[in-house]
Amino acid sequence: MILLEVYNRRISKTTYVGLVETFLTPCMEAASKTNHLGKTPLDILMETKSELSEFNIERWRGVELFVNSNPIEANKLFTKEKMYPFMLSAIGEQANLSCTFAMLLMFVSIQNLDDLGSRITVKNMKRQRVLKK
Amino acid sequence: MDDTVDEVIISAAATISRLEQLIQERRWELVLANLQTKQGHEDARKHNSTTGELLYHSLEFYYHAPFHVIEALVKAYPEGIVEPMYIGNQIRYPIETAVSGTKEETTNMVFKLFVETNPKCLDNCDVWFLHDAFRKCDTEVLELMIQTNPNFLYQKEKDSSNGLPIHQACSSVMCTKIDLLLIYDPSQARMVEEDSKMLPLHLACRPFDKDTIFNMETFRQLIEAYPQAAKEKDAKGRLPLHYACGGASYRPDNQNFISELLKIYPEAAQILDKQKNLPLHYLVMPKQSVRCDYFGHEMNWLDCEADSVNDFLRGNNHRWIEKELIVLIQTYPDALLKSDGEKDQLVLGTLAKFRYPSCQVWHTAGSLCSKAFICASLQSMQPLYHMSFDLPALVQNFTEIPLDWTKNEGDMQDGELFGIILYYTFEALLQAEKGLDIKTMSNHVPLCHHLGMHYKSLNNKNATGNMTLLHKLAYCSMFCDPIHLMHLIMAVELYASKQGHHFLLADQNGNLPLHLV
Repeated sequence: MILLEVYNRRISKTTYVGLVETFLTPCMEAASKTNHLGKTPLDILMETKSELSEFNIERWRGVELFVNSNPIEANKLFTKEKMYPFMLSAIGEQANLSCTFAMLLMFVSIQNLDDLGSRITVKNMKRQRVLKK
Repeated sequence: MDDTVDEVIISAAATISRLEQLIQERRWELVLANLQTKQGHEDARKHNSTTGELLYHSLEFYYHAPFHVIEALVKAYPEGIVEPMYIGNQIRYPIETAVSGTKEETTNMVFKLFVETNPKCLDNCDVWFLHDAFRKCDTEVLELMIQTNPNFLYQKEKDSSNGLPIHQACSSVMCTKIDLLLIYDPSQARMVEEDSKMLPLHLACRPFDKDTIFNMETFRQLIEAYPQAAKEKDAKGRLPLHYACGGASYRPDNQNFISELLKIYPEAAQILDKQKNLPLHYLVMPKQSVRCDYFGHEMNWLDCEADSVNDFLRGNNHRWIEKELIVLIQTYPDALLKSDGEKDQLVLGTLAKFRYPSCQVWHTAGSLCSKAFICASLQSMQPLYHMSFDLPALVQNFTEIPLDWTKNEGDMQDGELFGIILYYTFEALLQAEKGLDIKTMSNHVPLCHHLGMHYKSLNNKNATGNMTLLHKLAYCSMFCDPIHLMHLIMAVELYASKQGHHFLLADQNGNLPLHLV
């Protein structure tokens, strides 16, 4: 029984994320490279699993690894829903809050906060004008 | 010469003759001398004072007496050879007692002596006796039996599963007797054993003893007498080829059976028996192999010899079945996609589990049915899965996948087998193009659930252009045993230390190894 648990734990740890980690660790730079179709490894992962329901905890950890290695990915829109990774990981049956926060942090960290603030200010001003009218 | 009449009083009720006394005392030279006297002749005709038997009916006499004494008895009283003995409802003839009682080395001589003295001595014998004599005695005796009373060849013993003499001869590898039987009547090759529905050819193919070699010339004569036998199924739905395959690793000196049978009926390689096993399954998975015991009863022999068979598959003697494996795969490559009916095991998975070290076998399988390298059943994984611990050795010893098709001799280098399996796994994935092609695989062989994943399309038919070993490793890594991830990590780290630039080397589609994981 104990052996079985150990086995299951090892299996779940190793199936996908283990492979990504194995091939990513010696050369993190590879995560940011695109092929001739302009796709990064994360793009391919997201395309291979076209439905959100196909993502399990393993896949989200894989996404996290790719985004950590190439933070720009956190600012890209994926899937037919056209959402950022942190949004995708927050919705659906396979939602992963840990991944959501990690992706959100990455997303925020690469934003130009001043610019973000001005955009929010501009939007607020426009809304106020509309209300006044 | 002592010609006196001596009678010895042994009790108040019975007296015994001098001949009886000498036999009791086992003074054989005196018995011989006595039998050559007139009195001896008379004593030989007398019934035993205690048992009432003639000397001809004494089992003990035959067991202890030398041949020349028995010969003297026959000379002294030749008419006694056909004298029956009644035991209740049973009738027993002297030759039956003689063959049962004499020691192995004199049985043949005694049989010949009796028949040559009076050929009618066999006329009323029971079938069981004639079959027993057939099994025990030599071919000269068989010739005599056929000349005097050939009916026994077509008679079955009562309440016995031994079959006819031709069946017994084939089961027990009595090749000279088979030759003789076929010369007398070739139609015996068509006679079906009643219970098992086996023909003589089935029985000849079923292994009996690993130290016995079935004469190939006899085997060919058996086929020639009834070639159709190669196509006939027995009660278990098996053809002779199933048995020949089952016995191949057990009786390696008779490997030509398989090619001889395939010459006549190559379609046999595709025939499933009632257990849903192909002949190839019996060749590779000896657990299902069967042999028969002395009486022709089937037994599962691997239960007691599992280790030696596994050692054989892994060890130096792998060439015992190499030629047969190649022939069977060439004859019916799709057999590699079908799991056996008993354990749901696939052939390549099993060979990989035993690390079967023959380049030629793996290349034959890969070139004719590469799909089998990505095929799994619920109980049997892809070959690569079983080889995961060899990964570091591949990277250590090779910079590219080793593919020496011509290599026939010498040991494989460490990691070489993994490299060959990796190559064909990669080829199979390329051929599958849009995901693993389940439809073309046998329904009996679903992909193992957690490996039935989508894989990434390489989007280019020339995708192999700038492929490095690392690309192939990344592409096929999903088939490695997750338990052995450590070996994969070790191999990739080793690769990084040797050829780190390959991690950023793109193939013709611009894919790095990481794109292909």
